[in-house]
Amino acid sequence: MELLKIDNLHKTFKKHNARAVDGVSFSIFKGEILGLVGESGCGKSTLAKLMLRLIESDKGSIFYKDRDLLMISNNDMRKTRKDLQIIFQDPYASLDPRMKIGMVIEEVYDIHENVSENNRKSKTIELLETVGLGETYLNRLPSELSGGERQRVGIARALATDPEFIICDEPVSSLDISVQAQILNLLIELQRRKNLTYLFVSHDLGVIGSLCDRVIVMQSGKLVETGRCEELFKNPKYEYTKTLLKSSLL
Amino acid sequence: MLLQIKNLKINYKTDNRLTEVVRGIDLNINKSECVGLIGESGCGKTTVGLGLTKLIPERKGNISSGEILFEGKDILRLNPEALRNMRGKKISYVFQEPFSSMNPVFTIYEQIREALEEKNNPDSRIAEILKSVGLEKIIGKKNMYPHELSGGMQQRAMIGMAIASKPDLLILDEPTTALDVTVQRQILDLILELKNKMNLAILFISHDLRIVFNIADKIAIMYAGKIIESGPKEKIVSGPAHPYTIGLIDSIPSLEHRKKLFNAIGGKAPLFSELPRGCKFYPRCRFKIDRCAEKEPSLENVSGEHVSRCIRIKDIIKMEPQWNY
Repeated sequence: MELLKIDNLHKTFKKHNARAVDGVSFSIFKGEILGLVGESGCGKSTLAKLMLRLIESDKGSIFYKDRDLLMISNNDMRKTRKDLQIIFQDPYASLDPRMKIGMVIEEVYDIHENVSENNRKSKTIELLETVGLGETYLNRLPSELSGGERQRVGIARALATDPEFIICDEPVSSLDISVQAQILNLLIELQRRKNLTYLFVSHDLGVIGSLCDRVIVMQSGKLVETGRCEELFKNPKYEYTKTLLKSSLL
Repeated sequence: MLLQIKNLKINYKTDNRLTEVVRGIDLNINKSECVGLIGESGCGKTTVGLGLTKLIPERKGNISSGEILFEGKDILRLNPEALRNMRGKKISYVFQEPFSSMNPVFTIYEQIREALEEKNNPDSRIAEILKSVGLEKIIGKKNMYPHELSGGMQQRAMIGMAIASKPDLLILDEPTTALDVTVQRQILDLILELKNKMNLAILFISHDLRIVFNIADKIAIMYAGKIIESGPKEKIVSGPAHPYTIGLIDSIPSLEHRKKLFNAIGGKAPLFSELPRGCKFYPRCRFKIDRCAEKEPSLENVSGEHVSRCIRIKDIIKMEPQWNY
């Protein structure tokens, strides 16, 4: 079942006259992990942000549950973000340094009001346990956490609204390889348990290959290749995909 | 033997207390050999690199014991001037973030010129260096500043500065971590090419075994301030003899792993102020037995130059490797 359908999406940054996303179309199916690969600057993070309307698109449409997300009001979009969440690359930069971990999660409940006030604390603890942290982290500050622990908080925050779709924007690329494996395990387990759908953005083909069902390859704002993971890794058609595969340390 | 580190110990000051973060390291690097030093963040690997030329500021910490013999002379006993002649000349560094290692208000030309050993006729020599690091494009562009280059080009410029003095030993501390895969591969190829051309010895510090498998001749794996396994690359790839190394290899994502959970190392690295008794890896180890908690094991011979700090070496090397590298 098609969960999201992106059609002919465009975004130009006027200042640099750069076509960051240049007519991109693809679909994401319920329950799959779709990989998005490409070099820095190819537009993959821009695409991720466009999909949640964290920045506005110039043209195109994003269909989710029979509605075009680009046509609905800001207020409706804010409500829809309950179902569509994102985990950012840099766990250091995406947490408020002065906010305790418990507050980071409870703020989500304040905004979306999806949990009654009496239950917020216990829900927060439950969520922290889900991501392998637990109650002792409630009153800690981000600066007291390691990179891997911060990323677990980022995951907990995304899960707080009980979404069905999560964009993982390079969630492990700033982590040590041992921590990376722990976080990937957590993401795989959550996906299975909650039947989540992921768009997994990465430039590491090893990570993509171990996780994803399908991959889309992006270069200079355009999609250049799409396919099932095994096939694309064995028989890449485009020169650019071949270079990526050759460069990666598989 | 170009460099011989013997029982190196380094302390950091925290709240007026000294914490030992390098707890007795032995490491040898031969001429034109690349040694990969591997470990998680906070294991002390960067400190080892900095300690080699006493780059740890006194207010932050000190080297409490050991010898660092470079061509037979102990670096720790050199007078300040002799030490200055060593740093950046015979031993030079490339760090992780190229932009923060360069001075933003000087041009690339000025910064390479500063590193040259022979100051006569610098322009032709700079052109030569730029060419050898693949920056032909900026030859002659004397007004180019670091911010005008991409991350990959900045790292090439950094490598250019590091080799300008024709060093014998290059210390690379995560030189490709901030870079894209394609650029990363180009930089690794460049490092290998320079190593062969200039007979460079390299200490390659990284957390990523994949990179070191591609570039190193010898590998040393560090955990909680000590080397827990070291040996020729082939031996470590084909028969790792320490549970930590096995855990690191199992953490490598690849197509073979498809859709399976990683056999990841549980828990997190211990703080230096709260190191466990006995084997420091014991609490996270999947092969642990009670005896492991009694006493920290010493490095035992596995075969040839391959050593491991584990009391269960014999059981561990018998296991069939589960990975496909």
